[in-house]
Amino acid sequence: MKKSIAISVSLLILLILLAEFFINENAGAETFSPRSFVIIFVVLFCYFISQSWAQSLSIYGKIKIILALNLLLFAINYFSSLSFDQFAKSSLNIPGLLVFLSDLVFIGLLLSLIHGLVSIQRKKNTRRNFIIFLVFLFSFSLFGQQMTYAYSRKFSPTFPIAMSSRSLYDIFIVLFMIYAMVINSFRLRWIKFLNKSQKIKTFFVSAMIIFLLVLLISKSGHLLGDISAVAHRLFTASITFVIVYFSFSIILILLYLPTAGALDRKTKELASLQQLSRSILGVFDLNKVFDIILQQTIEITGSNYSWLILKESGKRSFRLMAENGMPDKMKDVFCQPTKLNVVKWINDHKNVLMIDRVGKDDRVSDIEKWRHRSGSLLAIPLISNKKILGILFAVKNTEYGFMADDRSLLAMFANNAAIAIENAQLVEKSLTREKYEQELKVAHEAQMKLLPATTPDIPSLEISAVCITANEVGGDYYDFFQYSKNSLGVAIGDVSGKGAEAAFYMAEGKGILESFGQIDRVPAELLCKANEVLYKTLDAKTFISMLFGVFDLKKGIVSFSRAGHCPLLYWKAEDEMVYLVEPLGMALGLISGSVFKTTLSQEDVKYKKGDIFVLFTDGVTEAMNESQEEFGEDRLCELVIEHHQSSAFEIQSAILAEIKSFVGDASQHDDLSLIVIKPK
Amino acid sequence: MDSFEVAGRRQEKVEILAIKGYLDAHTAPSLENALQELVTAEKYQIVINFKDLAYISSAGLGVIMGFIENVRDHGGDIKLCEMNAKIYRVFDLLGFPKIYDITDKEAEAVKKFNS
Repeated sequence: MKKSIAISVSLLILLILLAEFFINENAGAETFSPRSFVIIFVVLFCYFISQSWAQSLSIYGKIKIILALNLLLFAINYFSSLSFDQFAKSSLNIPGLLVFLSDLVFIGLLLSLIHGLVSIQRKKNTRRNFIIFLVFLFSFSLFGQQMTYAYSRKFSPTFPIAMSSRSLYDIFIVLFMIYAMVINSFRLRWIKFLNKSQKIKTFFVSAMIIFLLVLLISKSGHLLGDISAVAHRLFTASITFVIVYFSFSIILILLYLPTAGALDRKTKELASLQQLSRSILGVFDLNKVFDIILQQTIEITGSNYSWLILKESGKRSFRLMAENGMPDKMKDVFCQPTKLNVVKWINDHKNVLMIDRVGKDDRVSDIEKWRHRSGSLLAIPLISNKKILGILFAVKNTEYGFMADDRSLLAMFANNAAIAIENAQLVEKSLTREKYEQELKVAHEAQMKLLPATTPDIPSLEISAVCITANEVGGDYYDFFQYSKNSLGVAIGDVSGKGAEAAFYMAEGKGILESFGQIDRVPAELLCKANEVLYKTLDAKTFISMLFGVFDLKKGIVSFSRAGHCPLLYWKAEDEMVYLVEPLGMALGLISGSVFKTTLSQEDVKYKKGDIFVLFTDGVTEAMNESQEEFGEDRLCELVIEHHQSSAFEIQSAILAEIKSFVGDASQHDDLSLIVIKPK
Repeated sequence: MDSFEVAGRRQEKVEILAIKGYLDAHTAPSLENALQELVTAEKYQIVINFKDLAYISSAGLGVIMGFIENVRDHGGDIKLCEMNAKIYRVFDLLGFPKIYDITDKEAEAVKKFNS
C-alpha cells in the first residue's frame, strides 16, 4: 500500500519535473523553484527506496555495487558531455534529461549504499550523524549559491571581496557539511570484517572510485549546471563525500593491511573453535571427533600433518589413535609412543612443547627420522581434571614454523578437544555398557531356556535341581535325559567365560548331549565323542567342565564320568559316610583325541535306598563371604551328613540356606547349580 | 570390585608375570593384555607366578588357554608356578596339569626353559 502510494507520488512528481522542463526556458539559473524540491525528492526517494536492498548486501557486495554505479555514472556523464553537448542548450533535450535523471538516481543509490556501509556495527549516533549530513547536504544544495559560484570560478581573485553576509551563511553551511562528511567518513568498521584478499581488492576499488569521481567532478559541470544549479551542487557535494569517504577507507585499509593476515587467522581460529564446540555437542563417535580435531589443528596452525595419541584406559601407556597426513615412517615411530622422550616430557611437565628445529633438539633426538631433519613440532597435552588424556601433535616441514600465538591458540583449542574426547568416550562407554547389559539379558534368557523346566518324575528317585544365576551369566548348565523307562541321564556342567558366548556354547553342548545320547549311553564314551566335536568348535580359551551320569534304574547302578568338573558327592547310607567321587578326566574342549580319552575314566556305583547324590558346580564350593573365605567342599559334606535323612528337596534347601547365611552381604559372583538325587 | 595386578619382570630370557589378587571375568583382560604384549614382542618363554593369586575363575583359565597354542607353536611355553592349594585344586579338577607345566617353585620353572 505504502509502496504504491510512493510510486504514484513519484510518478506525479516526475511528470511535474518533465513539465517544468518544457515550461521553464531559463533552466540553469533557479534557486528556489519547485524543480529544486523535485530534484531533492527524487534523490531522497531513490535513497529511501533502496535502503533495505543496500542493507541486505554483503559488505564486499556493497563495495562492488558502488564501483559499478560509479563506472556507470562516469560513463554516462563522460560520454554525454562529449556527445550531448550541443543538445544541452536546446530546450527539448530528451537525452540530456535522461542523463540528468540517471545522475539523480545514482546519487540516491550511492548515498543509500554508503549509509549501509556507515551503519555496519552502528552506534547510538550513527544514524543521527548520517541524517545530519543529509540535512546539510540538501541545505547546501538549495542555498549554497555563492559558494558554488566561488568554487566553480576556482577561487577567482574577486572571491574574498565578493563575500557578503549571505556568503558567510553559505560558508557556515559548507563547513558544517564538511564536518558531517568527515564524521561520517570515520565510520569504517566494515573494513575489519573483510578478509585479507578482500581488503586488498577494496583498496584498489576505492582508489578507482576516487579516480573516477575526481575525473567526473571536473567533467560534469556543464550538463547539470545548465539544467539545475541545485542538482549541480547536490551532485558535487555528494561526489565529494564519496571521495572523502573512500579516501578515509584507503588510509584505514593501508593501516590494517600489515595485520590483515594475522587478523584473518584469528578469525579463522575463532571460527574453528566454534566449529569444534559445536562438534562437542553433536558428535559422539570418537573417530569423528578425532578427525575433526586433527583437521582443525592443521587448519589453525597451517601444519603439514597432525596426530593424536591417547592414554589407554587404566594404563600408563599411550596409543596412536588417529592421524592426518602423517607419513608412514612417523606412524611406525608413534605406534608405541609411550617410551619416546617427547611423550615422557609432556607427561611429566603437563605443558605445551614447541620445538623450532627438530633436527637440533635433544628432546626429540631419540626419533631417528627427525635427526638432521628440518622441521618444527608443536605438542599439546589434552588435559581433563588435571589428568593427561593424551597428546596432540602438529608438525611443519619448515623450521621455526610455529609462532607464539599458534601455541596459545592450540592450547586453548586442546582444552575443548579434551572435553570433546572425554564426552565421546563417556558416551561410548555408556553405550557399550547398555549393549553389554542387553547382551547379558539375552544370554540370561537363553540360559534359562536351556535348563529343564521341571525335574523328571521317576518313581524310584527323588530329584531336586536348582540353578541360581549370578548377575552375569556364568555358564552353568544342568540337564536330565530320560532315555527309557529304566534309563536316566544326568548332566551338570559349566562353560568357561560368560555372557552370550557362554550361553551359545551351552546350547551347543546341550545339543551334542541330546544327539549322542540317542546312540551311546555310556558316560565315558559319550563325553569322548562330545569332546571331539567341542574341541573343534569351541574357541581357544573356552572349555566346558561336565559331570555326566547315567542311572540304570532297574539294576540300581549309576555310572559317572567327570570331564574336569567338580566331584560327585555321594552319601552312602550303608557306610554312613560321604564320599567325593572324582574319576579322572579333563574338561571338554581342552585337548583332542587320545589324551582326553585315556585320561577319562568312569565310576560305577551300585546305589541303595537312602543314598544321596549331590551334583554341583564351583559356584557352590567357591561361594565367598565378605572376608573372602570360600564355602568349600567340607562344609557341603557336613551339611549332607547332617541332613541325610531329609528329602532331596529339603537337603537342597538346607544347602542353599547355609550358603546364603555364609555369604552374607557379599555379592554372588558366579552361577550356582545344585542337583540332589535320593533313591527311594 | 576385587583387585588384580600383573607385574612383569625378566630373568635371563624368561619373562615372568607375577599375578596377584582375583582373576575373574572382570580382571582377565589385564592378564590378557600382559600376555598379548609379550607375544607381540615375540617373547615366548613365559612363567606365570601364582603366589599371590587368591582366586581364579574359568575366564582366567581361558586367558592362559587362549595363548598357549600360539606360544608353543613358536617354540616357547607358558609355565605355571607357586600355586596355593586352592588354586591348584581348580587346575587339577579341570585336568590342566596334564597339559601345563606346573611347578612348585619359580626357579624350577625358569630352569626348565634353560635346560
